Amino acid sequence: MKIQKIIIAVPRGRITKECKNLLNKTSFAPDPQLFNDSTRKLTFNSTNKNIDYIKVRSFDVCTFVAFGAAHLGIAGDDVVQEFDYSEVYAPLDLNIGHCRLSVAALETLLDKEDPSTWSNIRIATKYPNIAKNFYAKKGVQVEAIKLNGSMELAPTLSMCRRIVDLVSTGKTLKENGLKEIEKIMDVQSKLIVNRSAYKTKIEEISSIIETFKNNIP
Amino acid sequence: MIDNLLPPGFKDEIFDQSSIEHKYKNIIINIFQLNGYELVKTPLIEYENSINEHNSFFIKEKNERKNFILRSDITMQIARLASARLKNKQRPLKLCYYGEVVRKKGTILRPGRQFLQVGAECIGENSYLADVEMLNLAYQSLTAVGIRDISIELSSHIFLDYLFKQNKTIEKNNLARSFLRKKDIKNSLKYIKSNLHDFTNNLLFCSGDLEEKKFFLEKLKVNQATTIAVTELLNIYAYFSNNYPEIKFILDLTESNYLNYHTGTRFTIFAKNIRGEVARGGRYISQNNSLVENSTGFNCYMDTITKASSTIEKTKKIMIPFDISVNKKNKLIKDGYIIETFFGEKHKIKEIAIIKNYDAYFIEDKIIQLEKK
Repeated sequence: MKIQKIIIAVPRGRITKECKNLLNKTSFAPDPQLFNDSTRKLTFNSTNKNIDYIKVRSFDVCTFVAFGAAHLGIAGDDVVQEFDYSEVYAPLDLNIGHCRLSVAALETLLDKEDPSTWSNIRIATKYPNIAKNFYAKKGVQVEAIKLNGSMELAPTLSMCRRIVDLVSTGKTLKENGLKEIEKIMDVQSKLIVNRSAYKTKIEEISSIIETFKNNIP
Repeated sequence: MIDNLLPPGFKDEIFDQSSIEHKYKNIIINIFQLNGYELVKTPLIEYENSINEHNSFFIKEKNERKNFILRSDITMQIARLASARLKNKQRPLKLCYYGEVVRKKGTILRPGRQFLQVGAECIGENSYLADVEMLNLAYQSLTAVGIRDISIELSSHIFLDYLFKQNKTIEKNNLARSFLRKKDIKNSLKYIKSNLHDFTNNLLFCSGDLEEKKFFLEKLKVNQATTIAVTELLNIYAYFSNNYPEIKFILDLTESNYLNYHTGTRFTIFAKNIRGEVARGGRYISQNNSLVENSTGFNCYMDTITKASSTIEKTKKIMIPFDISVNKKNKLIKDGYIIETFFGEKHKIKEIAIIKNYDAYFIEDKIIQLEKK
C-alpha cells in the first residue's frame, strides 16, 4: 500500500531564518532550497522520505492546513486567530517570530480626537475579524477595509482613522507618521495541525510534535 | 441574466455522483433495516420552533400565524415523531431515515447547503449497549460502501461541563473553550482557575490513542458524572477492541461545539487520507412535550462518503434497438448490463454507442463489444 507523505506548510518571508534554524535541528530537515528566496519551487523534500514541505504565503498556511492540503504548518497566532478554523489545532508555541498585533493612528490627529464618543470606526487591516472582535468589546462597530499591504498609507490618505497591523520594532509606523496606541495581542509562531490528520495519523503527527517540542529555541 | 446560475452552496448532481449516492444510501438503509431499524419518512417543512430554527431557512406564508422552516436536520424530527405519534410504542424505539436537508449556512469544509442525511436513532435506551450498537451499525455501513482505515474518536461533554461549571466565569469559559478546542494548553490555562489546572492538563493529556490513554482516565473521575462517563467510554472501547481490533480508537475530551445537542458519549468517524468526518453521532436527550428520553444515534456524511469510497463502480452499459424482445432485454439485465434503448435507425446504433462510450451494442441477436475510451 502506498504511504501518503506528511506535508508541512512553512511560511515565506519574515520568519524564514528562524524557521530554518528550527527545522534544520529536526530529523526531517528540509531541502536547503526551501530557504532560497530566488527559487520558484513550492514543494521540497526533506531528510525523511515520508515528510515533504510546501512553501506558502504566511497568511495562507492556516488555510492549507484547514483544508487538509498540508497536515501541519507553522503559522502566527495572528493568522490562527483571524481565521479561527474549527479544523485547525494549535498545540505548540514555537518561540519564534515574536511581534505584536496593534492598533495605530496618525500621531498628528491623536490630540484632536475623543474615541470615547465613537460608535463606529473605520479601520484598514489584514485582520478584519480580530479588529471587529477587539472593538466589539469596547462597544464600537468596525467598518473594516481589507488591505494586504502598505497599511500605513491608509490613515495618511484619509481612508481610515486606525490601522490594525503587526508591529515588530515600530520603525515603519514612525517613518509614516503613525503611533502605536494599543496592543491587541502578543504574537509568536505556532505549530498547527489539521484536525482529521491528528485523528487518523496520530503516531506520525505526535512524533513530529514531540520533535518540534524538543528543538524549540 | 444567467439562468443556469444556482445560489451558493447548491448544485446539480449528475450521472455517476447521483447514482453512487443513491446506491450507497440504499446499501446503508438496507443494513439499518436488517438490524431491526424501521424506516420512517418526515416532512421537508415544519413549523419553526426554538429547537429547529438554528441554521434553517424560513418560509413566511401570508395566512399562517407561525413561520415555516425547511428542515436542516432530520434527527430532531425523529425525536418529535418518537415523542408524539410513536410515544406508545415499546422502547427502545429503533428508527432509520434518509432525506435531503437544507442549511442556511455551510461550513468551511462542507460549503454545500443541501445534502442527503442518512442515519439511525435508538430512542429510550440508557445503557451504553445502545452506543455500541450505533457504532457497530456505523462501522458495518461505512465498510459496506468501501470506506477503509476507519478511526473512531470517542468524546464526551461531561468533562468540559464539569470544568466550566467549576471555572464559573462565562466570558473566561468561552475563551478557554476556544483555546482548548485548538489544543492550545498554554493559552487555555490563562482563563482557567489555578485549582483546575491539573484537571485541564489531564483532560488534554488524555487526547490521543485510546489504548495508550485509557489508564490515565482514572484521573478524570472527579465526581459521579465523570466516573460514569469514564466507565461508559471504557466499556464501549472494550467491546470494540475485542471484536474489531482493526479499528483505531482515539480519545478527545476537549472537542466541543456549543450548538451540538449531544449530552453524553459522542463519536466521530474519520478515515485515513479522507478530509473531514465521514459520520458522527452520540447520546442526546430526546425531549418533546413532557416526554424526556435518553437516546443515541448517528448520521453519515454522504457527500464525503461518495467522494471517498474506495469501491470502484463496475457497470456494463449496452445500447439495444427498440424492437428487441422483452425476454432478451431481461436476459441482458440479468447478465449485469445496464440497457439503453436506441430510438433511431438501427444502422446508427454502433455510432451512438461509441459516442456515449458504451461497453457494447446489440444488433442482429448478437452482443458486439466496444473498446472503451
